[in-house]
Amino acid sequence: MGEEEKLQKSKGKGKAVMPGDELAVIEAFEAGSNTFVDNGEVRALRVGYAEPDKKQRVISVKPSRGSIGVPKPGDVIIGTVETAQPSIANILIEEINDQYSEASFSGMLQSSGDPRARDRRRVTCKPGDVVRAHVYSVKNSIYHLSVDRPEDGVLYTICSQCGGSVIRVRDSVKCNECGYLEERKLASDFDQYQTSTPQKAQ
Amino acid sequence: MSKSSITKLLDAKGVRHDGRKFNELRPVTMKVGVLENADGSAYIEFGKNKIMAAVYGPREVHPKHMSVPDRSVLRCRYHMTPFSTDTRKNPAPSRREIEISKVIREGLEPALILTDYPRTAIEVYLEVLQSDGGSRCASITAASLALADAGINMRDLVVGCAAGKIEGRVVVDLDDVEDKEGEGDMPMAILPNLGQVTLLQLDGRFSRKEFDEAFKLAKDGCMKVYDIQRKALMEKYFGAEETGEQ
Repeated sequence: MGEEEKLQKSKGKGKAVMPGDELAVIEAFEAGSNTFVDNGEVRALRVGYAEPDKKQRVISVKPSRGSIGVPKPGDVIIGTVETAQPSIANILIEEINDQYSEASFSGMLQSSGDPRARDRRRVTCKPGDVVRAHVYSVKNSIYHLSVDRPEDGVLYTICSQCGGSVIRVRDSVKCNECGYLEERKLASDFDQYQTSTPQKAQ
Repeated sequence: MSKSSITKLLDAKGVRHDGRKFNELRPVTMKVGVLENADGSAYIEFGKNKIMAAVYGPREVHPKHMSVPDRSVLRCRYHMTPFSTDTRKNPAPSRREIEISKVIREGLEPALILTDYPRTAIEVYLEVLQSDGGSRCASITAASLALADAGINMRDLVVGCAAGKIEGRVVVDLDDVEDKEGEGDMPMAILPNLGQVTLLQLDGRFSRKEFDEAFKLAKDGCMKVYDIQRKALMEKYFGAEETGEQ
């Protein structure tokens, strides 16, 4: 394949590979990210550039486009509250680790049960709120979310009585229009957070 | 070409009704990334077949109880548009389409690493805009391109090509007329780098010798299609660099 060899010698980058292409034999390189081993050969899993690390003897593939993320424990997500009950809320996940997600995964935000939390039985958010949370478990095919960390919590909300804008008053929000005060678990950057236009993964 | 105008599927020199040799494919073109709203997409023209493939996912499974805790659910829908055939085709899924959806799914599954996306669904939509013989092979080829375009982890691309028997002679890549008038059809899909067969069907009666011959022809046909498939992906992802360098 003479034509392909030309393509493979792109400047500064490794050679262009497609799924299934042989990258190396396992005697020469170990399988890095986006590769797999089949019958003693390291092969590519994605379209991208092969990146051999000659010091570590690991070969990996740098994908040409971002992958569609699936939440896993430890990931930070941003989502909208769809339904909220006193101890449980359903979150529509819209961002996973700062990457916009169209996959419409939904997560379950539960009260932490942490005795140090101010009120460990309650989840303080309302439908429509934008919240930041982290995934702590994916057991039983459910994305279990938590807002225990200081940086997690409500990022954007409006008054549940009149729809007016709110300001932070310690652990609560106060409506600028009607003065209604209600409790929220606010993120530490509640005042600074700005929503951005969603960008599709490229 | 209507059936009545065809006198012979194979003439004395071994040339087929459309002028091809026994081991010659119809013209094939492919394009990757043709749809804006799908996560991955591809378009293939395989002779007179025109097929659009779109991939969504991995995304949330609906209904939720269908999700599998340790892997992704692959769903395929092969569908022929009402205007894809000479007489209008009822748009409701026919028995044949349901079967083809199933064999395409099973043909793609060995190539995908579904365990990398637990509790999700990967959905493949195949719309046949114009049909000729061998649309399942063309569909599986387009589907694997769309999956690679969506950035889903794959062990290999999947490529399909059929062989068949007309007038007692084994030939590659049957078109619609040869499929209907001929004596047998054998669609096949392979993982070209791993050397595995993921789809093999046979309709008709083949002797052992004929089967071996057909298998070899279909495999060679697959490898030719694979070259075109690679070029289509190259063009989408590395095309700019190629022109930049020369």
